[in-house]
Amino acid sequence: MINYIKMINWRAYEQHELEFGKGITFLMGPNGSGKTSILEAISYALTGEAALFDSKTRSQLLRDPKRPGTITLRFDVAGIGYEIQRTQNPDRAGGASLIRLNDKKRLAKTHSSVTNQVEKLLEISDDFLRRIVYMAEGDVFNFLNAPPKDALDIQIRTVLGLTQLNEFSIALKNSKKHFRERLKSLQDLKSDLDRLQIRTTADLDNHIKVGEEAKQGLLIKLETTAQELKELDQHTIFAKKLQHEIDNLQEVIHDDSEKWDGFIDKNIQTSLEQFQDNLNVIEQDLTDIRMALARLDGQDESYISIFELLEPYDNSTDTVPCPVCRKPLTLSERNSILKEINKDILAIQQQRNKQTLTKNEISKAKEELTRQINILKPIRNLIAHTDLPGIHLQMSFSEITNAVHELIKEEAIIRQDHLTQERSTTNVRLSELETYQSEYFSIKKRLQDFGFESPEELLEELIRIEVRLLSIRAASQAAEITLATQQKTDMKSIYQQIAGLWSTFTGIDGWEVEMEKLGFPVVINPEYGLKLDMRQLSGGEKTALLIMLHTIIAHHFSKSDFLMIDEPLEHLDPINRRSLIRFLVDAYRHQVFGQAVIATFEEALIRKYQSEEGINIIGV
Amino acid sequence: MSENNLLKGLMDEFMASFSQDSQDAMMRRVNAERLIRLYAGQFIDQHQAESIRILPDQRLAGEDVADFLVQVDDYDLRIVLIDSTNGVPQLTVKYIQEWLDLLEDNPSTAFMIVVWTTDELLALPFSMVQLQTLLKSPEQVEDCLLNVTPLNQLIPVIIQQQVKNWEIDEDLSQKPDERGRDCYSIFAEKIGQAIDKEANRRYKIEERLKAAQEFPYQKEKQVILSILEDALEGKSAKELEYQLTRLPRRGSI
Repeated sequence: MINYIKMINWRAYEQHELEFGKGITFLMGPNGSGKTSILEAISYALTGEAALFDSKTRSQLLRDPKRPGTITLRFDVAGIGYEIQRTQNPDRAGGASLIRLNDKKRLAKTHSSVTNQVEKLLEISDDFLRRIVYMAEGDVFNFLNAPPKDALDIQIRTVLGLTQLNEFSIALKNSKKHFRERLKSLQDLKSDLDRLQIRTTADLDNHIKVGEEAKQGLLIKLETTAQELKELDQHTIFAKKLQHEIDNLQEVIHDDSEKWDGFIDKNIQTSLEQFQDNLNVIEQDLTDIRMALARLDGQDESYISIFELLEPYDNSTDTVPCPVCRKPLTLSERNSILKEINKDILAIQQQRNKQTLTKNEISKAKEELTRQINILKPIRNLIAHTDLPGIHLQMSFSEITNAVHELIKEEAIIRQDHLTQERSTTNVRLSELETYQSEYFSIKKRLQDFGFESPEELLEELIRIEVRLLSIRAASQAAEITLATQQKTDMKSIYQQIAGLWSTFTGIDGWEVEMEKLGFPVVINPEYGLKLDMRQLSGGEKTALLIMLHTIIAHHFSKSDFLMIDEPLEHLDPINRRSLIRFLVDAYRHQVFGQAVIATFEEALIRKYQSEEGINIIGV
Repeated sequence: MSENNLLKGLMDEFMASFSQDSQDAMMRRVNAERLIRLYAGQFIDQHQAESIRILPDQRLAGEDVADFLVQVDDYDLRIVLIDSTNGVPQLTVKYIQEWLDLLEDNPSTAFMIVVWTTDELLALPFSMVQLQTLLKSPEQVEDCLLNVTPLNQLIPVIIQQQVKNWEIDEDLSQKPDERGRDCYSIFAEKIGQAIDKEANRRYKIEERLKAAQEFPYQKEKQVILSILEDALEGKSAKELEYQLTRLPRRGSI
């Protein structure tokens, strides 16, 4: 039973205290006078929550929003008194305590522990207490205005919490669906991680690193292969050129084998040097011959000059001066000289002819040698400058010929094929590696898209989802069992009492409870073939039914025989107001409840009962 | 008001009635008032518990009529006497506006009860709505008169009609032998068993198995119960779904 309340800085009150007695306490006053503030204060003290304000708007409960508000409530259960004190600060909950008054023992010192202790004392949960014991402003109005067909069922289910439980079940179902969809996408990612054997960030990074290294290796290999192929192409080109030169030379050798006698098996460089030496010798011979010819020419010219000097003879003189010493020469002397000269000139001529012949022969030899050298030089140059594998200048022509043949045959067909194959294989491997790498990068990206920084976070998320899913599955089962239990036992019992009440309101006996297909009880009257129909009731009857319903449920579920009703008469016509007040007073007289605090502005009606025992009127 | 006060009031009304023109009419009125007084005494005795009061209404005292006020609960009834010359109730429209004004001025007055000075005290009740209808359709006055009823029968009926008696079934005050358990309590008990059942199942999926093995029983149970509390406070499925799908921070499991 509630005995006393003190409100400080609470809604309509700066500071106000009230005492309550057993029975019905009518809080009377006009709208805005503070009736609801008192009911809210009692609700707040008992449950830590005010019906009309949640945790976000609780500061609005404070009269001065800058100062804390405090509620002190004294009540007793089974003859033992208790005192609750709760403070609401402007921005947060303040202190709280629950004290047992007979021994001053503090039973709780936080808001939540006070609520828990009150729940234990009254054997009713705080939300149940708020839903059943406190019929807040609007509850009656809502019931009166609910569709009559389902109003009672809805009210019972709502008061019992089954409507809310159903909403909870829907939320569980939707959450399950939500998690399953999320799990599906996460498990896809997880199976990809498993397939790639990734469990940790290190695994992933390592895979990416190894892949990168392998990729670099393959790229280098590709580059090398490409280089080799390029070189091979060059070699082939050079080898073919060399082959061409060799073919030419072989033709030349074939045509004039004598000149190339021994060449084939000789070191080609040596042969060339020999040819060059020979050529040098021939060149020297030619030079000598040219010089000899020049000398002969000189002699010849000298003789011709002398001859010319001696020659112009005109028979007028017996002598002619010596062209050298100017001594007069006789004709005979002259003739003798001329004869000698002619002889010499002839000799010179003969020598010249001989020299010229020799020169021609040497020139021919030189020409031949030069041709040989010119044929050999390209071969020598190709070998010297192309660095063809297995071919060098110290080899003989026949060796070179064989080597070139082998080179062309091997490189072109085998090695090139091998390298090409290798390049192809490397490319395939690179492609595979890139695909492989792209999977890792893709996985990394997918992890990031899901908000994970590592595979471990994904695994942890999967476990956290599975944990919550396990909770949700368990909660779904518990909700089903709870619903079934309430339907079979509590709801049935409540509906049986409703059936009795229905007889009172309708004046017809024989109302019973039957369980419908879905397991919910329904009130029927088999004798008259009737079903409970709220349309049969007036507003006052509905209100009375609602109050009785709350009372029945409070009796059924808790030790509480206390009710708080805010403005139950507000929406009723005068006849129903009178009827309801009479009903409430009668209900108290019949000990349907032990204490009720009812806020109303119907002073004229209430005054009639003020002298009666158990009826208290507090003007607010 | 005491009986003496009632009698004094009635005498005052009686003195006022001397202004009646007709001796017969005066006699009928005196008789009617006497009958009402007698009836009032009996009625008050019979309904002591309901604190009904019947008293002369001084405000209505006039030349032609003497009236009474019946106070019940938060409403009252006003009795108006009309002379009936030949024992037959008759009604002229001239009174109707006067009564309507009176009802409009007195919101607590539920009915005007017109009583004719006949031996049976034939009477008719008029509510504000009925008077307004008669003003608009005076031809209905004659029809109304067909419903006249003796006053001693009419008053209890009217008073009875102003309040309904919903009898309290004795069973309703009987507390049940076995107290029911609210759905939160049932759920709170069953969720533990359901968690055990789920956690002890054999799972093939690695994460599910690990979740079952490492299930943070107290934390999760607390989360579910906390969301159930919010559900019971009326949060919508959508709001609850949001709470259910909010997972604990990474590293907390």
